[in-house]
Amino acid sequence: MPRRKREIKRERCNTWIDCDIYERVKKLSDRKGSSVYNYLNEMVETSTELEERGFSTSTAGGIFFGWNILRTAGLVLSPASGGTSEDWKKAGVRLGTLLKHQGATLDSIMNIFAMILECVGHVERQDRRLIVGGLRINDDMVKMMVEMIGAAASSAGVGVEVKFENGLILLSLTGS
Amino acid sequence: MDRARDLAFKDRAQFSDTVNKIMEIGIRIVESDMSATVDQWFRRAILMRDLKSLGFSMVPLETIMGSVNNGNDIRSLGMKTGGFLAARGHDLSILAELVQLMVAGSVVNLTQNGKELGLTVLMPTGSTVNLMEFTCNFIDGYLGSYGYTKVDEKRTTSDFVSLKYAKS
Repeated sequence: MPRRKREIKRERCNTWIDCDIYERVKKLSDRKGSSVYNYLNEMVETSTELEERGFSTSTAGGIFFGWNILRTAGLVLSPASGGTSEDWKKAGVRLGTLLKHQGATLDSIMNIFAMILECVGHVERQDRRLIVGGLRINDDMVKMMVEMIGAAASSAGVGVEVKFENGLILLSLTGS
Repeated sequence: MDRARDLAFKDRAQFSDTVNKIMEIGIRIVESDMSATVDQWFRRAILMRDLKSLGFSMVPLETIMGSVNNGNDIRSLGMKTGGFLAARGHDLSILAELVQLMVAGSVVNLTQNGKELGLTVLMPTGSTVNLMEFTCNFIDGYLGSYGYTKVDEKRTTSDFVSLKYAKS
């Protein structure tokens, strides 16, 4: 998620909105058949509600970008588990290919892996390392998930060491 | 705008910076799926967070497509999910979003008419009978938790089903 740099002064169309953002909102509202005024208010209200419910807008943004990639790779949110090791590896290869094709940065690749792992346990992130504890799934599923992430990293052309050890998933990015 | 301003002040950030940041992210979210409305994105964000806390995880779609699941087990999962989401303040219509999250590429249409509920479910291309069975059983359990019972089911093709439920 690109962040705006505060030091960059941008031209404002009125007291609070930057011109380039205004133009993009205008295009979107035209496509949606809404007025800029209504669309702006709807968007700000939704984002504010997210923030008020303890869900930061940037987190939501990260989830949606990640979710779009995961969905395209054929990964879904499901209450059921199972499948074969081959199914998981294939999904990993698809995910890695997509990440490579989209020119994903190491940081965004780590975000995607964290997003997958957050569903199954508590994720501790330290720069280029992820430690997942408190796993809520059985060992067989953990092993398949680890294989999938390994396959994704390999297909994305990213060096990664991922292992399941003493009830923890340990993942380290070793470079591209 | 007062609420956005309050949040900005609480974070000790400038009002305009916060709003512009929100707008920029909001635009990217909407641009990533133009078919969804801003409100739908909001519902999705909350739903995804709630499903994760219920124990849903990211799995390859093939794990559902290829396996024959026990219908009663899946119904129980649906019922548990419905009960949990209702307790978290979601209304019944979130089912359409839920199925789309569980089965990527599916399209669910839901119409409520008094005590009757009509649903059409279209599975993605290349889906299997198992996937359709899984989805129908899950829906059955989910709606059961809201007190609905199935009164009619029509499967015209292997990837399309029309369902009718009534409040018991």
